[in-house]
Formats: sequence, C-alpha cells, structure tokens
Amino acid sequence: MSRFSDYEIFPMGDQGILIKWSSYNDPEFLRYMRAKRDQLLMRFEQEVIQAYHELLLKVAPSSTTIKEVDRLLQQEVAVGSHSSLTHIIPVCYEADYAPDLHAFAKAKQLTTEEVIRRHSQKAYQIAFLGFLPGFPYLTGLDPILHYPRKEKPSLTISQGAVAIGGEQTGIYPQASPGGWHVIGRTPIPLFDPMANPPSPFIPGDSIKFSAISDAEYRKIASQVISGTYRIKSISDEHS
Amino acid sequence: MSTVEIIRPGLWSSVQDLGRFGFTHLGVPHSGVMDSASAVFANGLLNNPENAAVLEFTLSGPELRFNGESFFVLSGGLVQASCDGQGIAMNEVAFAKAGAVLKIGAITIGSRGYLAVAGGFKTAKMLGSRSMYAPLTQAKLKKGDILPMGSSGYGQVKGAKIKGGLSSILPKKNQKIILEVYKGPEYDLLSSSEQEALLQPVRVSKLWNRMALQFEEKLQHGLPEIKTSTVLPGTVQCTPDGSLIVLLNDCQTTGGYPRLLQLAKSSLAVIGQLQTTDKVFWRLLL
Repeated sequence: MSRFSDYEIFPMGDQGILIKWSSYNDPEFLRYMRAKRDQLLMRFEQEVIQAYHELLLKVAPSSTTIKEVDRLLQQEVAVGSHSSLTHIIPVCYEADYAPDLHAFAKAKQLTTEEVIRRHSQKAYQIAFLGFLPGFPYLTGLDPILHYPRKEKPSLTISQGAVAIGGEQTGIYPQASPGGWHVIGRTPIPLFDPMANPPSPFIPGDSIKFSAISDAEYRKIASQVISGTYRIKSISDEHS
Repeated sequence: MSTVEIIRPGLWSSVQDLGRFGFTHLGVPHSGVMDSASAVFANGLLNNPENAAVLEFTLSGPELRFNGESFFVLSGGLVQASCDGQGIAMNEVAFAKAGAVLKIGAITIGSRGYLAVAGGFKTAKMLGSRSMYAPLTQAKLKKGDILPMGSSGYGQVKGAKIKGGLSSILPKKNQKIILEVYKGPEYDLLSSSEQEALLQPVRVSKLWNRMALQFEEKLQHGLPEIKTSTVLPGTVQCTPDGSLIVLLNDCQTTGGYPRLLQLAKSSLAVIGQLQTTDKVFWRLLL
C-alpha cells in the first residue's frame, strides 16, 4: 500500500524497534496499521504496542531485525478483509454521573443538551488500547467538543467515566487519576481479566455512545452484577 | 501446602515474578520485579526457576510467619532481618521452621528487597503472571494475606548447596550511580544546548513508585506535546513543565509526553534500587 509508505524506523534503546508513520488523516490507515501489526506479530512472535501513528515491536534492534522489519513494511498486505464491529455503550450524562459536564458546556458556550447530542450522535473508531488496561483511544470527536486537558488532573476519576481531553474522547475502565473532563458514566465493565478476551475492543472497531437515564443506569448495573448483561455490537459492512 | 502469612506488610510489598507479557495491546503493563538481578539471584540460590514468584518489599520490610518449614533467601537492598530472633544473612540460603516469624527491617542501601522461598510463591496467576498489579490483582500485600508456597526438592540431597557471589548492583559508598541510556525518539527535537542540559547529573525526588520515578531538576525546553505514542519501562519523558520522569515496570503502555531517552536494559535493575536524593549520572550510548 504505497500511500502509507512515509515511515521511519528507530531503535527504542536496546529493547524495541519503533515504526513511526507520518500523520495520516485516513480511516483506512487504522485498518492498515492493524494488518501490519498482525504481520509483525506473526513474523516475530513478540509483543507489538500500538499508538496513533506508531507500532513498537519488542525485539532487540540489530541491523538484521531492522532490515527484516523494513522488508515487511514494504510488502503488500490484505487490508480490511475482516469485518469490524460497532459497540453500543450506554452512558448516563445526568449530573450525578457527569461532574464536569456543566463547566465543560459553559466553557464551550453550548447547552449540556447540545454537548450530549454531539457526543452521542456519531460512532468513534477505536485507534488502540493504552493508558490503563482496556482504555480505548477513540478518534473522530467533533472538533466543536475539543477542549484541553485540565491543568491540574483530578485525583479520582470513577470507573466507567466517559470523558473528553484535548481532541480525544474515551472511557476509564478503572478508577484512576486523570486530566480529562468527565461528561458521563457507563455502568458496563470494560475490562475483565477473567474473561476471554478481557476487553471486547479491537483497534478498527467502533464505539457509539447511547444516552440512558439514571433509572436505566441502575437497571443495567444490576444486570452486570448478576452476569446477565451483554454488550450490543453491530457488524459493520465493508465492501 | 505450606503457606506464609503476612503479619505486617511493610511500606509497599507485593508478589512479583519476571513479568506479564503478551497483553500490552490491551493496555496491560509488564509489571514484574524492579531489580531482576537480585530476584533472579535469590531464586538461583534456591534452585528455583528464575521466574519463580518472590515477595518484593520497598524501603521497609514485612513481618511474616512461615506456616510450614521452608528454605528462603533475602536479597536486594541492604537490610537487617531476623527469624525467631536469630539474625539472617543476606544472599545466603536460610531455613525457617514451621511457625517461625521472619522480621525484615528497613533498607539502608538501595530501595527494594526480595524474599524468595524454595518452590516460589504460588499465588493465583492473572493473564499468565503472578505479578501483582491493580486492577488485575490487589495492588499490594496487607496484613492477613496468605501466600501459598510451592514444593521443592531443595535441601533433600545432602551437601548439595549452591553457592554464588552476587556482584552487587547496589552503589558502593562514593561510587557514582550511572544510568546507561540511548537517545529517545524525540531527542533530536531538542537544541544542542537543551541536549547538553538534559545529560547533566540529576537527583531522585520524593516522587517514585513502581510506575515512574521523577527527578528533582527540570529541563527548560520548547518541546511540543506529542500525540499519544508508545512507551516502555525505561522511557524518559519530559512533561510540559520540564519534569523528567522515567517510566517503570507498572507504567502505562502509551504516553503523550516527548520521549527524550531510553534506558539500556541493564540499567533497569539499577533504577529499581534508587531512592530519594540519590544522584544519577547519565551515560549516553550510541
């Protein structure tokens, strides 16, 4: 795929090989990175960490390994042959679950309803997981909702918090300190080390937030506890 | 099955093996022992596999009871310990009778210590590893925790005692602490005077734990924030206000701050033994 050929390879100390692409604003690029990641995994059988425009292969860099990585990157690869899913994530945006929503709306000169509408109306692509176990980095946030991270991070953001930071939106799978603005909360668990797989999210899949009431939140929460809740995931069609 | 019971956990103690691999794509860090040299050494003396789980303690050690008899080794930072009142030498195999109470004191040189037992600790594996890391497991040990120990043939063959010297990674008095590093992916964004400033000696601040260690000195710089990128334990980041932070075993798998340096693998165990006020010299490898 020659349109994604603008990359550089760096040794990451003596423990990894970093592949850094130019910034591509192309949804195809995520699928391309996923295919390249699978290729590297198969060839080297070592971990590959992923971020927006990078893959980090946990193999000691040498002229041999770097040449081999370069060779693989030059190779054609079948992209988008697997179908991806859109996961519907229920979110309560009501005051008790959204400590920063009011201040956020005010700063953006929007009503809270407008923020909720814009945030929940589109599907976001999962670029990669990082920061915390199961934390999805999502692309495609409406530029009107972009807002810099807090200068002083909050010491505790609740598990399930749905938040906005910079140009990104995401969900906190566990309670954590964090600098993003919390505009809602989901009752569903996003990471279970005992489940197989522990997280339902794969880079290339999408997430769509669906606004729910406080009553629905509590209903889903009790379904989660009794083990009867299932995430609704819709298959995407790719030609 | 023999067990060990925690009477007092110490400042920050946890069960660790050599780490949890294969799950970084889910955002799960490697975790594992901070000073692998000392942990592997202790396991070696007991003829354990090098990945046998050990108890890692930080600054002040735990007090625990052996519910069954066991051979054990203490390694890592310099510390006094006694078992039922009898002094225990570090870096040597010792024996605890059933019911014996081991008291480990405060570390005086270094920051992390290891208790290895014959057969290793057999706490539950999560995602393939016994390394404690919240939310997969509890974050640290607490009073009343029971740790099962594996069975081992150690000591059954008379006269078969493994001896070995540990060339200690602990800094000797007046010896310089050197961290070997490589340039990080964003090193070349610095001006040459900023690069020179970056490589000056630095001192460990009060802010350090299993996730990261921050130095006192700040770097004046004009670096932009970067889009979230991949990081490893040993990545040295620079925050907008100039703080220099080395990411460690429990660090997140991705980060948004410029990556200026990357620790050599051999320096990871050294940084695992640093404590507040230690002065560190960088050695840039090319």
